[in-house]
Amino acid sequence: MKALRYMIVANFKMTLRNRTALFWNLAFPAIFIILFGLLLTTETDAFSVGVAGESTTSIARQVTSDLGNSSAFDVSLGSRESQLEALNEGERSVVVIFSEGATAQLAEAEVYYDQTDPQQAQIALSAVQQFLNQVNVESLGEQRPVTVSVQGVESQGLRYIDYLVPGILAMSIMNSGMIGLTTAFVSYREKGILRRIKATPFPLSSFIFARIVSQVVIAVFQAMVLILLGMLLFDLQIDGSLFNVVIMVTVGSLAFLSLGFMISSFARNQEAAASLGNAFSFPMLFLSGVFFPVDNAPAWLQPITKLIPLTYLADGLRNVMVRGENLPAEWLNIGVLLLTCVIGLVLSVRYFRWESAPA
Amino acid sequence: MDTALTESPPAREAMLAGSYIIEARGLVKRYGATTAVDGVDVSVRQNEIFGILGPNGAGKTTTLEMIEGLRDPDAGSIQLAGIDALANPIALKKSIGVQLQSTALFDYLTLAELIELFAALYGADTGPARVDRLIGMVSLEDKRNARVDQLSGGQKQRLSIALAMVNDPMVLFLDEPTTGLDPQARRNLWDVIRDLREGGTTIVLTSHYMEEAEELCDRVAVMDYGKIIACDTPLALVQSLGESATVRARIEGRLDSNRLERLRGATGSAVNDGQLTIQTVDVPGTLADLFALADEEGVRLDNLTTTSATLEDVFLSYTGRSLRE
Ligand SMILES: Nc1ncnc2c1ncn2[C@@H]1O[C@H](COP(=O)(O)OP(=O)(O)OP(=O)(O)O)[C@@H](O)[C@H]1O
Ligand SMILES: [Mg+2]
Repeated sequence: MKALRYMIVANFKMTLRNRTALFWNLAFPAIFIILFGLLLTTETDAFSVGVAGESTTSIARQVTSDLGNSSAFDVSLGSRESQLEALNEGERSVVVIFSEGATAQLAEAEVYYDQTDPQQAQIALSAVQQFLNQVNVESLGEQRPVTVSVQGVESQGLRYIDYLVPGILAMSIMNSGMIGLTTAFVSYREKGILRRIKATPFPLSSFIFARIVSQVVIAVFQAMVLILLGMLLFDLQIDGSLFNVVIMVTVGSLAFLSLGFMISSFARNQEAAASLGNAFSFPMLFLSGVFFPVDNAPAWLQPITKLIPLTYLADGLRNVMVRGENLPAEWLNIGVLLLTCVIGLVLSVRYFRWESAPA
Repeated sequence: MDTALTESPPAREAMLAGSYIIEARGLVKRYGATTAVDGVDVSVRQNEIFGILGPNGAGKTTTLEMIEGLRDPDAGSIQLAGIDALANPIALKKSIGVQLQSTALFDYLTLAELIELFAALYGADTGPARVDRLIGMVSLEDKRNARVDQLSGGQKQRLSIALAMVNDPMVLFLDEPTTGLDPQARRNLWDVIRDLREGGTTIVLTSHYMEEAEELCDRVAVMDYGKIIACDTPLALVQSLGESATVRARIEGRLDSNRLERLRGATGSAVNDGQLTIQTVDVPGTLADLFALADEEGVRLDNLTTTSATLEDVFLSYTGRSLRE
């Protein structure tokens, strides 16, 4: 127990004193959040928004004229069909179609967006949604005057920053497992540190366990810092419980640490470890909806996104952070991540090597 | 009556065997087609400094690391302090201290932190007093709070000896502890090693410096191509050559070769172009007789030198090759 405790503490010290590790764990994701957050808030062009059915209810009329008064939107009116056609031709970023709600005082809004430009659409969509939500927030009535339904977008009701922060978090958890841990472990092996540990009575399993514990704690700490940053700078909304966030971060961290161990078991040297880590993690970044939803990706890509562990971590984090989902509802994401962890560990133990093969 | 002489040889063997703290028998290690260690027996006595001397690739590290439990032998048995090392690796590791031929240590930790960590890994005392004692043992007091990357080569070697001592091991294994150090640092390290032996530790080290083996080791095993070709005290090894020294001088005039051969201890002599060379097993006797002879014949001796045979000559005579090709 004492040995384990000292090993864990030593790992913390080493991570905190390692400027490179600190950069990748904290500064790098923070920079991402700040950059994307700023890009989002300094919209230059007004989004072209098409509106149909604006005269169905008074609230719709109200929202439409508010939209028109906002400099962020360039509103054009028309029939449902003509607006959708304009959207199809790329002349609109977003189309909002109002219809009467349950009572004459309520409105329903269907929001369509341009699928060929998901990134732009995502921003426009968030802006429109933000706007519509604002209307809802300002009305103090029991029922929300506008019910929004978005077509084909999984990021329902999310502002882009709310969508982005969990994604960046997932990305940095993946990186610290698949690149940070991998290169650290391979360098331990190359330098003979692993053999030095093997010469002590401290078991390999404890050495790995100590590393996992410290990495998970660091990942949780990292998540808290990034969330705080998002809240302070960009008014990030956290709807879920912090406890659920911690659990999701932990599970995701376990999955990617074990993948990292697996890669380090296979990689011959540090360069190979870094290349392998990047070769796995880089495509994951773009196929898993970290930065923008992949629902718009071509159909043949969809099954691939479902094979990627990062998809489950990004979704899971997003669900518990901003959608306020509880853990049982996240069984699929958690389950896939735990399975990844087990597979990774089994393979890394199977192929574990104490020393690099002689040159 | 001398009772020792009446003792039967097997009883003597048994008595000696009892004092061995390490007994490795028939160690074999193969890597593909190469047999790195080919049937090696190592017996190390309690509290001695035992050296394994040999050229690069002789199998020194492989032998050491099999005894340390870091490599699995293909054949052989190892007893260390009554522990069957192959059957009980954990008990073995708790009883020994290990310095590997090349180990980097964790970056970003100070010396004191590293020593604490390693002490903890052995379940040993991690208190500051003990950490200071270990640091003092290798004279690194002024580097207590320095990081490993701020140490010189010799200081790193001393640190790794301190780390090998965290569990107060019965046997300390040092794999080429002084390779790459300058002569001063090497001598400092020898002092550290001697102090540890004074403290009761048995030390097994490898080296390819014959001076080191001669000065530091109580007994030396000479290794080549995976085999131990000789094992004894450095003195006995040198004497086993039967020509423990060479006497050289320039002479003006002639000396009778028959009388040269009969000098006390002389085993051979030659005169070439006025350069006299005598092999001897008794330097003082040979010199005394040589002076007398030269005096008698009225021959002048110039540039008189004597060179002792070294382990280098031992290696040469066993293998026909020089230790450092
Ligand atoms: N892990 C390994 N895989 C393959 N061959 C090995 C391995 N370790 C050692 N050998 C081979 O076994 C032989 C003995 O190596 P060893 O390291 O024991 O020599 P050494 O006497 O310690 O040499 P040095 O003085 O260079 O340290 C060498 O021929 C070496 O190439
Ligand atoms: Mg060696």
